[in-house]
This record gives sequence, structure tokens and C-alpha cells, in this order.
Amino acid sequence: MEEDYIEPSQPSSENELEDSLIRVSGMYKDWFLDYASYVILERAVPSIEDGFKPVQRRILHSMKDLDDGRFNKVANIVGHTMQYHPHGDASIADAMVQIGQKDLLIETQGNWGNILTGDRSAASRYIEARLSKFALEVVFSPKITKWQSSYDGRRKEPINLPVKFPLLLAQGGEGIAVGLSTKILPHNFI
Amino acid sequence: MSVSSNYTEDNIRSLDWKEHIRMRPGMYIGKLGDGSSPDDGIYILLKEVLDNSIDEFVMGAGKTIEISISESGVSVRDYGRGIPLGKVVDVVSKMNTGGKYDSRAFKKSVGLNGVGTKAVNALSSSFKVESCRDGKVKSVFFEKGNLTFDNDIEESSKRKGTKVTFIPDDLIFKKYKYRAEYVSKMLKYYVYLNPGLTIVFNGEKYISKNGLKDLLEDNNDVDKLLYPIIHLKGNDIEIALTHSKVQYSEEYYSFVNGQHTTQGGTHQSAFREALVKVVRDFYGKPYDASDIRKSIISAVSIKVMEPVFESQTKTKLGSTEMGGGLPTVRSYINDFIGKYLDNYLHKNPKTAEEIQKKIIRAEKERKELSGIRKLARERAKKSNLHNKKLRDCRVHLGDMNKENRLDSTLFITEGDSASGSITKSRNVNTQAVFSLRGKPLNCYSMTKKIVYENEEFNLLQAALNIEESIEYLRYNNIVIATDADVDGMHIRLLLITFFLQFFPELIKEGHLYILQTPLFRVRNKKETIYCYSENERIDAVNKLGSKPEITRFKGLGEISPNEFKHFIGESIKLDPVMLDENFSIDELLSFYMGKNTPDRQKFIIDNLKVELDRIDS
Repeated sequence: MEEDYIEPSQPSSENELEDSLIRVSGMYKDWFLDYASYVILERAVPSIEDGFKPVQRRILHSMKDLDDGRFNKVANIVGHTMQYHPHGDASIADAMVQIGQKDLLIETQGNWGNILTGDRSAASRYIEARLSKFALEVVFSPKITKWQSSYDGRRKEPINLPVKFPLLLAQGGEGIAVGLSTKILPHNFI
Repeated sequence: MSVSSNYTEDNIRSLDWKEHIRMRPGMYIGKLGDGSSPDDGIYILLKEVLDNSIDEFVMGAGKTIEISISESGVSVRDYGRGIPLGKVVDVVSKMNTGGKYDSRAFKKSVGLNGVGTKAVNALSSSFKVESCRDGKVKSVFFEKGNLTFDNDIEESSKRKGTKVTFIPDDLIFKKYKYRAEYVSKMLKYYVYLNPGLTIVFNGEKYISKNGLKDLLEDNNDVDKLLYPIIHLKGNDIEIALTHSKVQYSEEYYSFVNGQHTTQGGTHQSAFREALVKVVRDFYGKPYDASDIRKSIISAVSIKVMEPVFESQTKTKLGSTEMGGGLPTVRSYINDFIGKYLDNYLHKNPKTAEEIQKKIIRAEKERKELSGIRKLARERAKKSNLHNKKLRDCRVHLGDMNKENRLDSTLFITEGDSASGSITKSRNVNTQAVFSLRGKPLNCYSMTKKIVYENEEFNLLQAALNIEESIEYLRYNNIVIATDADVDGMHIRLLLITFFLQFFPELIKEGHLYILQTPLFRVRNKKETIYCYSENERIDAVNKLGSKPEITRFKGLGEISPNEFKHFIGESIKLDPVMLDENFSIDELLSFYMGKNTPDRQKFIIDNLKVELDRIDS
């Protein structure tokens, strides 16, 4: 009876006592890298392959989804884009207006604002858009597109769009991420 | 009229001691908990047992105490005098029995009520005591306070002393787990206060040569101290103090007979008072008390005969007398500091000069802040009546007479997505909600002024009531409840930065936590399982079989109030925010939150986390 009672085993279980504990420096490292990686890869920096940030790529992809040759309400396109982009509708609408203002990929209808005077566009329920002929020709080609599943696993979206034109240089790009930022001036090829 | 009117003799019950302890553990060991917070019950159990061994050491018996903690239980072995063999059973199982009621066998001990070990006994699924003295040994076994085996006294060659082994009852401490960090911190305090004592914990040795001086050195970066620590020792008193270069608040560690009085008490207030008096007399100038005490880091330990505490958990001293023919606590401390600190300052003019400079600087800063502070106060006054970001609870940490004050919790939530659900599903008595809007400011490298200027921070400070000192903190647990997505993580970083920058004691003393919310919900028509990790999800899917519905929670807004009850109720999962011993806060913050550096760029690029979910077609 003497020693066969509960005799705690010696230090071997030290690790088990500690496993679930992350110190503050570990928290900083994990979360910082998660956040930085996301902002760099998924938010602020355009991809070198097609020149799009994820939100722009998703807008174009959903415009192609909806494309029937007629103008669509921007608010509708934004709503559709939310199936791929798990963020607020306002940020999607703003990103879309910016593409429209470059007057290359999107044909616009209504007041899309003016970058020279700084006037803002009308609300997304008033303005309309459709893909330009140029965009339809240059940006899409489902056969050679590589796909990934969307954030909720319900749909598929392109990893990159197979762009047949140096869009990044033509349109330029700007973004401030964490630790890195990008600024590419637009170029006029004509 | 109603059922409750059936109040007869049958309703009056007298509980057996162990039943009472098991029914109302809060009265004996504070709160229950699962070991994720340093004041959880399982640590108190260990402490109650250890206190007896320490008392033996204090009385000059047994220089080493061995502790081991593993999955199979906790054991504490001392080499003291051993419990008198004839009374072993009584001492651990008869209420109000002990050797510490008269001051003959134990002078100035912590254990005094004769309750501690019995509480451990009643709350353990198995409890064993073995006492050796004079070449004889006696051992007894208990289960949940019931005697199961009573060995006769036997001859033995073992060294004298007592060994207590127990397993906390997992019916009471649900899913408990001892965290080595908390135990080790607790043991460190014991060795600081008992120079010469060696504690061996799972093979690791704890020993301290310089007592309280070691405590301050271990808890602070030595480079951040303004001058070498002043360390003074008397018969029944020991103090150590210095000023910090970087910290704004006052930091006190106070002890009575080796007991850490986290909430201070008469000795701590006497110490603060005495300090101001000595400094004023020494420099001959009527400096403001808050300027003198600003940034102070200090420890004080006294020994009192028959101390009076304000509760069984002994975190606040109530005694006014030292006992044994000595003056009151207040005048004893006053006399000691008046004499020795004054002498020290005369002998060390350099330190004296540093202190004076510091006080003058504090005075200047205070005057600079006073204008803006006034404005903020007025705003705070309004917010006291109505802090628009806060939904308060009824019980706060400062309500000393409330049993559940240690459960008081403030949830800091991100935006409206979660605050609504938490507000609806919370326990209104102990859980409060503070909702942030958007991302808080990155306050790294800013001065304290920003806490007053930024409305959000100011309201948070008012909600926590820590402007003057952390002593008045209103919630024991501060829980950051943000979404489990990347922006939620960013907010956590920004908030922790805020606390590290301006209120590091809050983290040092273990008040800050991160709420863990499930990542997935897996359900079929009959059962719902919430999963906190990828592995748990796979297990759940296997368990529920064919095609369960799997939802990935992206934000707290997706969880409905009824579900939320599970996540902030009894089985709440909290990750404590803890400092690293060998990592300076300053370096950490300047690397992650400061200006961008090539080092950081490289670090990010080398460690980018790429997530791709390809579809092959």
C-alpha cells in the first residue's frame, strides 16, 4: 500500500503542462505574420501576373459571370462580388469606381466621379457598368484559367486572370501593405 | 401563494464540513477555474499545502521542499518536524483543528484558521498525508474528504517531515490543468521571501540570495531602472525599492508572513505614506505625493503575529497591530523607513540626486498634462454616468464583500458584430462589454497624453478605472474578444500594444486574456459540435458521419446570441497574455509596431504565409 498509491511521475510531463501557453512574443509573431501576409497577398499589392489586386480580380470575374451585353447596376455587381470577397460592400464599390475611372476595362454609365476635380461618383445604386470590348478580348479565357475555391468553399474563382496585355503597366497600381508597399505609374502605350 | 412559502424545519440543514466545502468552495479557495488564470482554485490548493511546509521552514526546520506536479497529481514533501503522529487524521479532516492557534509552536505563520488543508482534502479525489518523525511514520488516505485508509504507526528509516499528495477532484475543477508558469511564479515569491529556502519543482531548483531585491530584478529589466535597487532589512520587515525609467504607474509587491497580499492592506498603505514623508523631509520640500510615487517599483514584506486578513484567500491585510509588544503596523513601518531610508539617502548622494531629478520631472509632466487631464476628467465624469461604449455588470473587482468579484470580466469587442450577442447572452452580474469601433490607434512610441486625447482609449481607461492606479481596477479579467480573422488579429495586436505601453502591470499581474471562439461548427440533425481547431473538426466530422453541415466562423457576428452562451459561459476558453522572461517589451514593440525597418521587411518576406485552395480541373 505504501508506494503503489498515486506517486506523481517525475518531470517527464513538463511539456504537457506548457503546451497550450503562448507568450506575448509568440502572439505578436503569429498574428503579425498572419496579418502582414494577408494584407500583402490578399489586399493591397497587385499580382505581377495579371496586375490585379484580389478585389479587382473578383469584380472583373463577377462582371464576366453577369455579362449579357447590357449595362448592370453597380450595386448588383457589388452584391455578386461579395460571394468571392468576404468584406464590406462599400470597399468593393470604391474599388470598382476606381477601375471605371481608368476608362479601360469597364464601360460606364452615369456619374462615376472625376479624378481631376476630386468629385466623387454617385452612389452605387445609381450608376451602371459593363465590361468593355477590350476587357472581354484581353482579360478572360476560362480554358486556361487556374481556379481556387472561394472563401466559403461554395464557388470557384480564378487565381490569376490570363491577361494578354501588360495591364499592370498600363493602369499602374498603388497600395500600402505591411512592411511593403507598391507604387507603379500608369503608362500610355499609344 | 407560491411554492416558496413551504419554509419549515426541514429546510434548515447542517452540512458536514466536507459537504460544505464542496458545496461552497468559493468561501475557502476563492474561485474554481481550470488553471488558466493564476488565482484559480487549483493553485490555491497547492498554496494551502505549501504554506504549511513554509511555516515549518520559518520555524527553522527543513531547508528544502520538493514539489512535483504531473497528470497523476500533486505532491509536496518537506523535511520539517512532521505532524505529530497521533493527530495526523485530525489535522487534515477535523474542521478548526490546527497547531497555529496559540503562538507557541508557530510564531508569525500564515496558516492560522485551521481550514486550508481540510479544504484541499475535501476538494481532492484522492488525498494522502504521510508524516515521519522520530523514526516512525504514519500515513492516511482520503477520498473527497472521507477517510479510506488509516495506516498504523510504523517504524521507518525515512527522514523526518511531511508529504502530502493530492489529485484535485475533476468534478469540481473541470478540465483543470496546472500551468508550469504560474506555479513557478508562485514558488519564486516563496523563495524571495524565505532566503535560504530551496524549492525543487519537477527537478528544477528555486533559490534566492537577495530576497526582495531579486524579486524586483527578476520582474524588471535592470537597464530600465533609474538607480540601483535600495534594499533594507530589519527584524520583522524587508523593503526594496527603485524608480523605473519607462513605466508610468506605481508598482507594489507586498507580503505578510510570506503571503503575497495582492490587494495590499494596512502595511502597503503605511509604506506608501512613510515613503512620501521621508522623501519630503530629506529634501526639505513639500513635493506632491503622486510625483514622489510615480514610476516607483517596490516590494515590502513584514512579519506580524496573528495577522488579520479580510478573507480566507488572504489577499488583503487588515491588521493594525504588529503583536508581541511592538507598536502598530503603521508606526513600525514609519519608524523603520524614517530611519533607514533616510540614512541610505545620506550615504548614497548619487541615488538621492536621481530621485530628486525624477520627482521634478514627474512634477513637470504632471503640470503639462493637467490641462488636458482636466478636460478628460470632465469627459470621464460624464462617462461615469454614461460610458457610451460600456455595458457594465453589477459586480466589480473592488466589491470586497461579493463572493464572485473575481469573476468580474470585461469583454472588449470589435465593432457591433459581437457586442450585441455578448450583451444578450452574458451573465449580467459579472460580465461587462466594451465595444470598439474599427481599429484602435497604434500608440507605440506615443506619450501618455494620447490616452487622454483619444476618445476610445480614454473611455477604456475610465471603464477599467486605472487612471490613478491599477489598485482600483474594476474587472479581474479583461478579455479581448475579436473575430478570428486577420483584422481581428491586428486589433488584438493594437490593444495589447496599448496595454503594454501604458499599463504593463495589468499584463504582469495576469489580468489580460484573449477569448477563443470556435473556428467551425459541425452539425447534423441531432447534434452540434463546436471545434476550436482543424483537428477537432476532423474528429467531429468522423463522429457525425455522413455529410454534416460545416460552417466556418469568419466573424463573431455569425454566432447567434444563444450559441454565444456556450462560449462565454462556464466552459469559456481563455488564453492568458503573458510576458516572456527573456524578451524586452520595448524591443518587441519597436520591431512589430514601430517604424518599418529592413529587418522587419526581410522577416515578413521570409515568413509569408500563403494559403491556396486549388481546384484541379
